Amino acid sequence: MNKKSFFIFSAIIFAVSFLYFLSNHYQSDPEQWQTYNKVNGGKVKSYPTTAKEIEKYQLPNLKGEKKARSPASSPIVKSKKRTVINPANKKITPNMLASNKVTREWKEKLGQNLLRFLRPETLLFLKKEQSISIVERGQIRHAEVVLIQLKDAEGRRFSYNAYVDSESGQVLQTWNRTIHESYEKKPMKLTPSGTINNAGTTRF
Amino acid sequence: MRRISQHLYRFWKGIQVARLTASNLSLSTIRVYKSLSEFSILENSNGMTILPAYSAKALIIGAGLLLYSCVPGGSSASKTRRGASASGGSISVDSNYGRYFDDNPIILSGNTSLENSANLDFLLTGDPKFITTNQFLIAPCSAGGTDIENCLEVRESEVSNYTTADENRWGFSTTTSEFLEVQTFGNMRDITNKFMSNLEFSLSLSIGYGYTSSIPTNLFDSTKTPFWYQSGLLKGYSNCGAENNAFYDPAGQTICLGNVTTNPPVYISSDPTVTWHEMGHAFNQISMNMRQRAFFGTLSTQSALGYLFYDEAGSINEGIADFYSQFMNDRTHFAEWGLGRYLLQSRPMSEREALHAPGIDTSTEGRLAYPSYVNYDPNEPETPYEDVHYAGQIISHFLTAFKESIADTSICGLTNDQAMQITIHILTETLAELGDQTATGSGILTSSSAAYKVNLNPTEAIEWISKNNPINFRRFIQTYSKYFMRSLGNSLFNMCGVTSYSRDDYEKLVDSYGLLLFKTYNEDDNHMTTGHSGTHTLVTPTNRVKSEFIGKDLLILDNRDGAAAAFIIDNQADIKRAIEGMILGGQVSSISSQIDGDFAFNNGNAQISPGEVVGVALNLLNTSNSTMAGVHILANDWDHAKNNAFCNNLGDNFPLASAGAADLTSGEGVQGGCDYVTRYNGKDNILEPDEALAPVCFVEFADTDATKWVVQEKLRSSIGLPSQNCLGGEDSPNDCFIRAIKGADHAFYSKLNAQETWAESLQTEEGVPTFNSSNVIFFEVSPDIPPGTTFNCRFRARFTNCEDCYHDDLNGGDDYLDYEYSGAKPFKLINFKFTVID
Repeated sequence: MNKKSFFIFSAIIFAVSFLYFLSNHYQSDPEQWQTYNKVNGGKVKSYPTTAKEIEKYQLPNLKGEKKARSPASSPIVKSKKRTVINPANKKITPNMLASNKVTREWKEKLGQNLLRFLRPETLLFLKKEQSISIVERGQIRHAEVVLIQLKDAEGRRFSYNAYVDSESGQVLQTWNRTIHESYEKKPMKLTPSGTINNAGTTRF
Repeated sequence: MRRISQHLYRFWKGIQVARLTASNLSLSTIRVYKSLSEFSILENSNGMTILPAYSAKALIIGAGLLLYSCVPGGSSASKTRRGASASGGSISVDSNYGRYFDDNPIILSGNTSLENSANLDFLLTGDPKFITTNQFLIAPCSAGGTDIENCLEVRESEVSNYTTADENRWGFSTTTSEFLEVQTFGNMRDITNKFMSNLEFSLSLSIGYGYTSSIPTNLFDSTKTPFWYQSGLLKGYSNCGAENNAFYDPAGQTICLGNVTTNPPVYISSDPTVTWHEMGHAFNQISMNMRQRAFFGTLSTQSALGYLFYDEAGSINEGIADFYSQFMNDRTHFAEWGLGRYLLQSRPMSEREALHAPGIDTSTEGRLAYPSYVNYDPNEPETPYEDVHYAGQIISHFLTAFKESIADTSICGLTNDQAMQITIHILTETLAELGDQTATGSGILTSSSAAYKVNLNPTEAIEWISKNNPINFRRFIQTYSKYFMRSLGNSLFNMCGVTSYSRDDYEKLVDSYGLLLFKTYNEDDNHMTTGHSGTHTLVTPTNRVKSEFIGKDLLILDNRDGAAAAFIIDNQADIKRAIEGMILGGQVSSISSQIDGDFAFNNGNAQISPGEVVGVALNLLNTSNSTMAGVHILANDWDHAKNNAFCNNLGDNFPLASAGAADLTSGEGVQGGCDYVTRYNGKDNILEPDEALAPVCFVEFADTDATKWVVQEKLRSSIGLPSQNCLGGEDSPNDCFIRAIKGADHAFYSKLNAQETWAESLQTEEGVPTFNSSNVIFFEVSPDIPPGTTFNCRFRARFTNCEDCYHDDLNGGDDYLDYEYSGAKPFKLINFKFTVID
C-alpha cells in the first residue's frame, strides 16, 4: 500500500470512528434530555436537547445510580424493564391489573402539561431516569422517574424529580425541589381583588 | 527541549480536557482515567459499550490534537476571568497545597467596612492547606470504612472546564476565578469531612449505649451509601452566575454560589459561612432520608424539610443550615461578608450578638422566643417579615444555647467540641426519624406494619410529613427532646461524666425559647394500636412558663361586624404569577384541562366564577389573649364523609341531619361509620373496603324533599354533565366542579397576634394585606358550574402552640395516633360557604 492510500484509509477509519462516537452520544433515546418550549399559537415544540443547550443552560450531568441489591423482603423488585415500587409491601399477584398503559407520548404530554401555564420564554428540559411500576390500591400503575429542569423568563433555574404517569404524562409526585436563598427581599406579592363574607362580596 | 516539553504538556492537557468534555456531553458515566495507559474501554453507567478501545484511543488522540491548539499557552487550561493569573508572593505554596479562607473576609480582616473592591490577598496568611493530589478539584470522602472516590467536585460553573493546579500548586490570587474554586472546594471538603466524622460518632454512640436510635445500623453500607448521595457526587459551582442568590439543587446534587450584584460584585463563595449554610441543606436532606435509603436503597422519592414558600419546616431547615456555619467556625454569626455588608442579610445565632435589637439577651426572659420572634429581622426589627430565614433564627439560637449549656460546668461540663458533636448527633437522630418514609422512625428497619410508628405508613409518609402531621416547631422540638432524653439526658448513661444533663434544666431551656409545646416526650410514638401503650414521659408542667397552649376553638373565621370571611385573589395577573411560580418550583404540577391556559375566565371581580382559578385566604381570627403561631390550613381530601354523605359529628355540627348528614347509626369504631377514622388514609381497599377520603368542598342541592349538602357527583349527575368534563376527569367525580389544586391545597400563616387576624398582625403601610403563595389555597372552578350554585368547603385548621391539636386528653396527654390526622379530632374545622357567580 502506498503512502497516499495509507492516509486515505486512516482518514476513513478515523471518520467512521468519530461518526460512530457521535451517533452513540447524540441519538435521541429516552435517557437523554429533551427540550420543550412554547412557540407561536401556544403550541409546544420539543426536540432532543442539543449539546450547546446542555452547556448553555448547565443541565446536570448525573452519574448513573449504583445498582443496589435490595433485601429479599424489600418493597422494591426489579423486573426486566421496570422497577416495581411497593412501599406498603403488598402482595403482588400474577393477575394484578395495571391501571394505565405505557405509551410513547407520555413525555410530550408531560411537556405540554407543564408549559401550558408558563410564559413562552420558559425553557423546559426533561430527562427520564428510570421506568417503574407502583403498586397502589391493588393495582399496578406504570410511571416514569423524570428529572425536570426549568429556566424561567428571568433566567432563574429550577429543578426537581417527579413520578410521571406513563400514559397521561401527568405528574404524580415531585421531590428534590431546589432551595433558593433569594437574598433580595422580594417575595411574590398577591393582592386580593376583594373579600367574601355572609353579606356578599366587597371589591377593593 | 523546553519548547518540546511545553508542547507535549499542552497536548497532554488537551487530551484531559477532551476526555472530560466528552464525559460532560455524553450524559452517562464515564470513568476518569488518570493516564492513557489505563484507558481500555469507555462504558456508560448501564455497562453499555460506547466504543471499542482502539477507536476510543484514536478518538482521544485525535481530539487531543484538535484541542492542542485550543489550550492556552502556559501551564493552566483554565480561564482567569477576574484578574491576573497568580504566582509567587504570599500565595506561593508547595505542591498540592493552596490557600483559602476559613472564615469570611470581614472576620479575617477585622474590618466591618471592608470594600468589595479590596484585593483580599492580604488575608491569605497562615499555613498553606492541603488541597488535593488530583489533577482537578475532585475529592473523595470516607465514613465508617466506606470510601466514595468521587464525592465532591468543584468548578466555576456547569459549563466550565475543570481547573487544574498551577504546576501542581493551588495557590491563586483572590482576584482569580481559580481562587474561588479552591475556596469552595476547601470549604465543602472540610465540612463534609467533619459531617462524616460526626456521623461515625453518632452511630458509634447509639450502638455503644444501646438506646433506641433512628440512625440505621447499616448507615455506612457501601452499596446503598445512606450517609451520602447514592450516585456519589455533590458538585459545587463557585460562581454560577445566580444574582443575589445561592441555591441547593438536590435533584442535580449541586450547590450553586452566585454573587451579590454590587460593582464590582462580591462572590458569595468568598464567604465560607454561606457555603457551609448551603451544605447544611444538603446534610439535612441526607439526614432526613437516611433510613429509607438504608432500607429501600433505590427508592426514588425523598422527603424534604419544607414544602411551601413559608412554613415552619422550611424555617427549621434554614435555622439548622445557619447552625452548620457555627459547626465549622464556632461563631454565632453568619454571612457578614457580602450578604451582611451589602444586603443587610447577615444573621446572628446567639442573643449576645450586637446586631440584635435591645431587650434580646441570654436571660430566660430575653431569649429569641417562639412565637414572638418568628417575623423578626434583626437588621430591620420594626418591620415584620414572614420569611423562613427569620423564623429559622429561633432554631439556630436554641441550638446554640443548647450547645453552650452542654459545655456549661453547672449543667453538663463537656468540652466545647464534645458539646457541638452531641448537639449535631441529636439533630441527626431527629431528622432521621422525622423524614422517615419507612414509617418505622427508629430501631430496626422493616416492612412490617407492626413497626409503623411515624408518618402513618410508607405509602402516605410524604402526605404526613408535608400536610397531615407536618414538621413544625413543636414536632421538631419534641422529637429532638425525645432523643435528648434517650442519650444525653438519660440518667443511666451519665454522658456528662459523673452525671447526666438534668431533664429539668433541659425543659427550662426549651421553655425559655417558648418551645415547650408538648405535654409528653411521646416515646411510644404513633402506631395505630400501640401508640398509647408504651412510655410517654410527662413534661413537668411547672417548667412551662413562657410556652403557652391555646385551645383550638379560639381560632375562628372572623365574625366581627363587617369582617371578611376570606380574601379572594382572582385577578388574572396575580393568578398567572402565582401558578407559574408554583409550577416552576415543583409545588404544583397538575392543573385541570378544563382550565384555560391563559386564565381567560379570571376577571378580578372578587367573586368565585366558573372557569377561574381562585386563591382563597381564609380570614381567621385569634380570639385568645396570646399569640397563635404556625397556623396551618388544609384543603386536601380527608375522612369526613361516609357513603357519600357528610358526617356531622365532627365538632362543627354541620350539616344538619335534615340537610343530608350521614347516618350515624353504624356504631362506634365500625368501618364505614362516622365514628370510625380510616387507619390507612382511605387508600387500602382490601383492609378497609368501606373507607375513602372525600374532597373538602360539597355542594348545596335542591333534593326532592329538602335542600341538602351532597357530594359534587350528585350535582353532576343531576345536570347531566358527562363525567369526563369533571375537573379531574371521569375518575374523580366528587371534586367535579370545585377542586383544591394539589400542592396548593394547604396554606400557612406565621402568626396571629392576640385578638387579631393574620392580615392585621402583618399589616403593611398601605393597609391592604398582601399575600404570598403560601398564604393562599388555590382552587380550580369548573366552567360548567351552574351560576348560583352554593358550595361549602370544610377546611381543617391547626396551629403549632395548640393544646388540643396534638394531645389526647383521654390518653394522658399523649400525642394523637398518626391515623387520627386523617380525621377531624386534631383540627379545628372551618366551614367556608360561597356561591358561584357568573
